[in-house]
Amino acid sequence: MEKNLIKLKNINFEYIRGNSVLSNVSLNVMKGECVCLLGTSGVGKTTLFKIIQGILKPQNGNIYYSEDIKKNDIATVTQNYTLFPHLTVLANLRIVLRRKESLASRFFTNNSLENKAKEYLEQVNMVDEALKMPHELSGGQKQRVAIAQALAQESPLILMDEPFGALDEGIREELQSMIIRLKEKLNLGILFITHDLEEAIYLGQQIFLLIESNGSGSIIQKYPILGSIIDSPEIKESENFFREVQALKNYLFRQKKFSKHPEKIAEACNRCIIDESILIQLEQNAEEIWIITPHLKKDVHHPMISKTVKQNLRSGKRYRYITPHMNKETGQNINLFKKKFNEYIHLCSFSSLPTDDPIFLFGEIVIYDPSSIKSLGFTYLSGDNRGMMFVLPETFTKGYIQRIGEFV
Amino acid sequence: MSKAFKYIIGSIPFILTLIIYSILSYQQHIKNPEDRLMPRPNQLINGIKWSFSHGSIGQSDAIPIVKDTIASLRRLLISLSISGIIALVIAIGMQNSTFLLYLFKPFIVTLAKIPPLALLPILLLWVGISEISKITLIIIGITPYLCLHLKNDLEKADNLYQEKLFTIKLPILQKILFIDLLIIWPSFLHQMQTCLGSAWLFLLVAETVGANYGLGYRIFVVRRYLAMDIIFVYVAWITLLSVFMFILLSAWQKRYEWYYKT
Repeated sequence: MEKNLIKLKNINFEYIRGNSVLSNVSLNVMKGECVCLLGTSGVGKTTLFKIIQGILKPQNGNIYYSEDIKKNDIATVTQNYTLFPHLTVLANLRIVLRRKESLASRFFTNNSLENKAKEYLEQVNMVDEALKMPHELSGGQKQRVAIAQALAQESPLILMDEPFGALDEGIREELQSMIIRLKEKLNLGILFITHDLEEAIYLGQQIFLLIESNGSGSIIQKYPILGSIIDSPEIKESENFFREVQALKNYLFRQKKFSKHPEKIAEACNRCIIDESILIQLEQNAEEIWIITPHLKKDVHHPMISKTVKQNLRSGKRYRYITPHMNKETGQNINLFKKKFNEYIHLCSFSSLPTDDPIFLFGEIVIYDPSSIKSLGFTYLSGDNRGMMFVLPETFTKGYIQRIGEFV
Repeated sequence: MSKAFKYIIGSIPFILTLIIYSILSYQQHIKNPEDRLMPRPNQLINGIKWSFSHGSIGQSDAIPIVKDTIASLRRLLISLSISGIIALVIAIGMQNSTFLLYLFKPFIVTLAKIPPLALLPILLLWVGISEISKITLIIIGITPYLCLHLKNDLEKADNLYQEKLFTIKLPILQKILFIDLLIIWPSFLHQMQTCLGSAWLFLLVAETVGANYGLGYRIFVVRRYLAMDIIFVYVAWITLLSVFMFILLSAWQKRYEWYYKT
């Protein structure tokens, strides 16, 4: 079923002799698999991308392409929206689809290819914009067309070089979901380059880290999504990654500690701490669930929200969203959070909130003082420097809400 | 700032120039009522009348300014078209073939450094004072500049889409016709617009050296009789034509909205 589309073995590359950029890099991408390549800026991600494309030639090492793909037919999507500005959206797809036709036939309409172009646009929900020029599209729309263009190349492998780096978070999440959907539908292999761990965890079946190694070129390490905690000294030395790795350590720790089904959690969770088994238990009784999240109004698409929550949203279960807008770096806006929280508590005391149901809260809350969380009456489950989850006691009554309100 | 206000502000330098000229002309005519170097409005009207009257030039029944304009525009349009085609072909060729790049670039760079007017005597000796010499001078004057700028613009565009072009492996002719030519077109119009001033200059110079008709030729001829009233009319007419061509090229460029927004 799974088949290697591309296999890199011991790739070494240097732009200037004696100044190694990549050292013994090996990885493979299978059909139907998204492999994420993670690394800080300047570590050689794009160089590797260009080597796979065939733009750069490695000094040592081998690249094996499957029979399904020819080297020149690897589709790419990059951060710069690579649409030709003088062509409409449809024409941008047409130029890819008709590239193998003779010059003479290019001057005649080919209806089957026109329809095919529209089909690809449908895949990315852009068929209504077919006649627009690229400058009339938003960043997200342009990237959708770029993805359609890559699909139109009909290559089983798509290389993506930080394709959503320039997009805002909401759009990025939508496009990430779209990538997963397309990958599953078309059984595509994707090599996804990013510097965002969150994105990599959400999208990747395999994650590889490209790490600078003492001036002898970047080395590659497999990043365990589930399994042992990373203790590699190279990773520890990589200062830029330290915080990300720490987050992952916490994440993996929690998987082990709380989950009965850790393999499911990998897809459902993101940076935030969510234990699906607890979530399900709590949701069975709750009619109203509160979510504290900075991702207001786009929550359905946010990977932070588990499948269960998404299903509940579809079935009409009521959720309340609180957006504290806190400064993630300093946590200085805690007073704002307290104020917001207080407002919600207050609001709740006048609403039809069921008195005996547990309320589940989770979200990205900057750590400020875990003890104050406890003093609010929450059961503090776990937290790191970026996220927390806590559960309110099951005997969470209206009176109790008012009491917390006064306290805050 | 309202549009009307912008127009008012913009017209101030023109009005000031007219006022200064009127004062100087008035003073000149106080000193010498027969002065022809700074014609007064009534003399200018005579100049306009002469320029637009049948039979003003010798035995011919033609209207001088019309006949001269047709002759000059013909030369200008022919030379601009030839320059444009040569520049497009060479720029696209240099962008798509390393061989052509190495072949042409040093030559064009060197050619662009030679003042075209220095070549005028050589042209006159080689080609004579025929139409070819005038057209050739304009072509030599603007083509190297056009070539180099178009090549630069094309290189910038190609760099932006380099990866996409590499990935989709478009055949070279398709790339030239559907990508390069179309992507460079608004830039080409812009470069043509920039070249207009130089093209007019080379045209007028060429016409002063040898022609039977033409705006530059007429200015040169009537200069002998100190007919400043006619020279002024011709200069104003050349300015109008030049501005009109500039506006026309601007309007054409504005059709390519993507060029300004990407």
